[in-house]
Amino acid sequence: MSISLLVDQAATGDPAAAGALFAALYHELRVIAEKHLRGQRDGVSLGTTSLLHEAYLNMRDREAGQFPDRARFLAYASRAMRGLVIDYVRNRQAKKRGGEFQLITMDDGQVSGDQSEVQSLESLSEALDVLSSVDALLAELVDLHFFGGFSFTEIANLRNVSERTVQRDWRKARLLLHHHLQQDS
Amino acid sequence: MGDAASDDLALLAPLLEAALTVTGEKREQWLAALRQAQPDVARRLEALMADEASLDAARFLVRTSAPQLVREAVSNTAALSAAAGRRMGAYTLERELGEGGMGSVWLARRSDGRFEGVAALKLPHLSRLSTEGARRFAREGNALARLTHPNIARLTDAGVADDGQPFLVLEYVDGDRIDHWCDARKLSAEQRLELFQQVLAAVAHAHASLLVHRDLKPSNILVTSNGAVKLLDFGIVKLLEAEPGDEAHTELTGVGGGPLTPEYAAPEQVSGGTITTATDVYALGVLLYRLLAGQHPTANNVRGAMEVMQAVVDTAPRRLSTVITREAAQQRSAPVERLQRLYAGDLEVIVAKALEKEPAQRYASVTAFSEDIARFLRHVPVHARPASAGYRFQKFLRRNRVAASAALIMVASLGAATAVTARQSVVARQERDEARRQRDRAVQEERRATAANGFLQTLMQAVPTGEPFTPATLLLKARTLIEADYATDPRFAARMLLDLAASYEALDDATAERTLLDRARSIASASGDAESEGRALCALSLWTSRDPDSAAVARPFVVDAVAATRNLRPVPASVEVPCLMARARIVGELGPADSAVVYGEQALAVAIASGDTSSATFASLLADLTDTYHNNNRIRDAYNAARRWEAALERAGRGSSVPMLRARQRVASDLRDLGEMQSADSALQGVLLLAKRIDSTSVPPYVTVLAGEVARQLLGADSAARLFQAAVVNARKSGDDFRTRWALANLANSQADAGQPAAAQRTRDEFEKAGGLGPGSVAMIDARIDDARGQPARALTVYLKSLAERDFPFGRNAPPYHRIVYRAARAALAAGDGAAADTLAGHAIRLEEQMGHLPTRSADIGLSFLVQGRARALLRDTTNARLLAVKARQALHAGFGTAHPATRDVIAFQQQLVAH
Repeated sequence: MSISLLVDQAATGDPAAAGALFAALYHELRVIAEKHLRGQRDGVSLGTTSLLHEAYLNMRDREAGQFPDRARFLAYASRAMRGLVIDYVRNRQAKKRGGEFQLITMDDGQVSGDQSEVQSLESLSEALDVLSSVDALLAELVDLHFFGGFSFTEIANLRNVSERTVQRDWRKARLLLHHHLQQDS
Repeated sequence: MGDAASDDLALLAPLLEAALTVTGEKREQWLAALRQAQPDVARRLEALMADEASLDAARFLVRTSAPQLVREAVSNTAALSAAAGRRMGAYTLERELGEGGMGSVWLARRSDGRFEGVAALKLPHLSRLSTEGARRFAREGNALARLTHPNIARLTDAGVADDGQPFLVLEYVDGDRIDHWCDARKLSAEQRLELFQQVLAAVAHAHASLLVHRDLKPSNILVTSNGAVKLLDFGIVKLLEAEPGDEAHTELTGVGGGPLTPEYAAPEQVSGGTITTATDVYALGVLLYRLLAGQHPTANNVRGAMEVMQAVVDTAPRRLSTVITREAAQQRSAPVERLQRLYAGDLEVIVAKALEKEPAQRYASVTAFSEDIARFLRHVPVHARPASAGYRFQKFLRRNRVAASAALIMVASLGAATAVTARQSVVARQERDEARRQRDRAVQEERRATAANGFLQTLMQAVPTGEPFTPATLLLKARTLIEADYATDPRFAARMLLDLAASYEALDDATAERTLLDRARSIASASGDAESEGRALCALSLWTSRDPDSAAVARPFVVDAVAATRNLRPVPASVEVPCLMARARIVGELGPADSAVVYGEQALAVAIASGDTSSATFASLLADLTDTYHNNNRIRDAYNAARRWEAALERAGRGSSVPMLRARQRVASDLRDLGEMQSADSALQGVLLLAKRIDSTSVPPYVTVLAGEVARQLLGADSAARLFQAAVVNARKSGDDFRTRWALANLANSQADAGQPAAAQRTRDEFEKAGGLGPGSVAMIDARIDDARGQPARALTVYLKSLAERDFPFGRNAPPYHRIVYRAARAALAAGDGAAADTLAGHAIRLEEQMGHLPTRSADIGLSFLVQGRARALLRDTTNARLLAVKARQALHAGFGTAHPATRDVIAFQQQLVAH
């Protein structure tokens, strides 16, 4: 199924489409990151936002015809980035326990710290999902800024609103998330 | 995630939107309307909004915290953002020289035009680095940069690029791996040994600087085209893996861990044992075996890291003379038989000794290793043979006395428990001994470093194997040696004893410290060493004045110190600073108290002028000064000194130590005393975290007490009463009598403030039965209960009486004092005496300002403003009442936050004034 169709269906609240879209974006992000790993250095440094932009360009170029607007795409891609980060932290924690091979870190003094990091990221992610059911734009904003690395100015441009609005929304999102995290704990 | 939770958010989200859209008075009106209509919802919304300041303080979702992770996640699959043309600090990356598990190395050119030239930039993978590790880069790079030796590639700089990528700037070495270099030129065994000697010299130098490489291998040892050996990566392994708080373990010793290369790892590295200089000796043994025989001593036909490590631990190395192949002999320009003859005997004994599985059985030092090779090359019998630690110890004692001094300096400094301090102390000592050094320089420079190395090694081996040594055992050994030595060089012995005494201070062993100080004093006095005698006397004075009751006993020491150093011009800072500190403590106890400030500030000035701002002495100087300011009621100055104290400990590398806990505690309690409750609260969170990190099982009782008091101020009286009810139960359960009484007093006060005079009375009786908390403490509670019972006039009498007892208006015990003045003002107001309330509140404000309270930030001052404002309103001075209300609101908002009852109280007062 095409990305644009998935985006449209995910926007109507179709959970299957949202899941498929997430998987596609997650895969795309990993592919780009790995391409850079294999040393195809092309003189461009790989920041978070450029990774997301690259994903957008790649997927748009592969897709014939209509493609979702950048703002919506990047919001979904930032959501995938959230998944990538959480997986990475989980992974790192697991590795610390198991031990790697060539270069071995024998003390696992970091594990406990990582564990709370994993937990706080996971509960943040859950809180974001709850927030998304109440106000999807607010949750998207957190994904774009916190996980996607976009500045308020960039987000304001993407959404075609004033920067002040973005900042107010950010305050709102942050307070609501914190409130929710506190209620839960 | 329950439906209830999302319902909660769904309810609050639109309200929050509305609240954030309007500002100022409009928001207050809107909130007031909401409170009328839906008090419960309004309360929740306001509580939620009040969180904002604490979210900022906790850096909740602040962007800098996530990108670190995102970058790590990306760099875990992608090797991050290194690319040609990229700038890192003053350098521009040119081409990649290599990439490994730890990170990549780039050839870089200086791009700021200040210097021409290239350097090697090492970019460790972020995923290999803890967050703390990244911060250590900038801090520790400097220390490592001091390691200068012609055979060690210099680390010239370290930093963190804009995107958080740390980098190390190293001397760029255009050379070939040592094994390849030898093979390519078909060097003979003797030539290889000569080259290997250069490697040993470099490693010995680093060991003398308390650095263990831990990862010596051919790819880290290059030879340039003109035949000079260059070691790479010294100290870098440590930078990449060291965790905060284990500084003592990162240098000459440390428990195994961190990245390692299996083929060159020593058994203790593989099995997680203690890492010492002997670990490097082992790796050097492997290297020599490789250079001479062309193969690995134990794991020649083994695949995979796990098997290699197994072989390192279990397999005995084969004798060097038995493993030579035809090919290996050809590469060494000799027939197999000649090499066999050459290796059999001394040379294979030397190599085997370096490769002993048990660290204590190896060469005691790299230098000893090197000496034996030199003997072999000169055809002199070698030392390598099984020998007990006692034998080596004896041998060491026969060595040159001067050479031992550098080792002793290091041992003494080790007691201070931080590597950074150790290095700095070494430097400081060396500077002071400059005159001496010039005399002895040429020969002894080298021998000193050499012996230092051997001495440390010997000391460590004298401790039972398998057990990590403690600073205490090392110090004891060092002391024995000094005593054995003093007859020949009393000046040296006195100085060493003084350094050792400081180490015992760090270990909290006051008795040993005192013994050493007395000994140093008598040695210095007998040998006419004025500086050491002065230092000893000042230190004795400081030692004595640690007990406030002994201030009078401490004074004569200072007088004697002045007499002893009369002819020294100028008096060295090492004498002057401790004596000024002692004077400050003495007058702090015996008066005049304000002179203590003068002495303390002088000590600070002298220490700064002498360039000593990161030693333990400097930190304890600031600790004293914090107390002095506090005792002189200069709370703002005390707070600033506490912040400097904190910074000094950070510089001394003691970021996670008990003294740091005390410094942070002082910062928090000073903020409390300055009425900045919200800041005090977040500072306290930091204290609690640090306390848990240092010792997760216990939080110092004082921190709990402080946290409770801040909570009492920040919460309403109702919640505070509940909190202290629990505190009483807990304190009783733990059998802590002081905390029980403290909790009872706070419970009684909270109950009174919450309008429960009967309950407060019961608690007060219990408190009295338990013994109270000093004179007047019960009367203070009585006054509050009177307040609560609507008898403010009686309360006022008690307050005023108490103030008179405390030498109104110049009492010394400041923080509670201004609070009593405030309570008196409140009581006067409640009793309807506007004029008295106005005067008393004005006095409270002046006291608070003198202490350093900021009228814009202090909750205490805000409360005083509010009482004064109400007093003015009572006196029908509406203009000033309004003005004071505005001030009160600003201060309370900053000190307590928006949701606090007092802040709401002042808002109500303002509305009341508008209505008039």
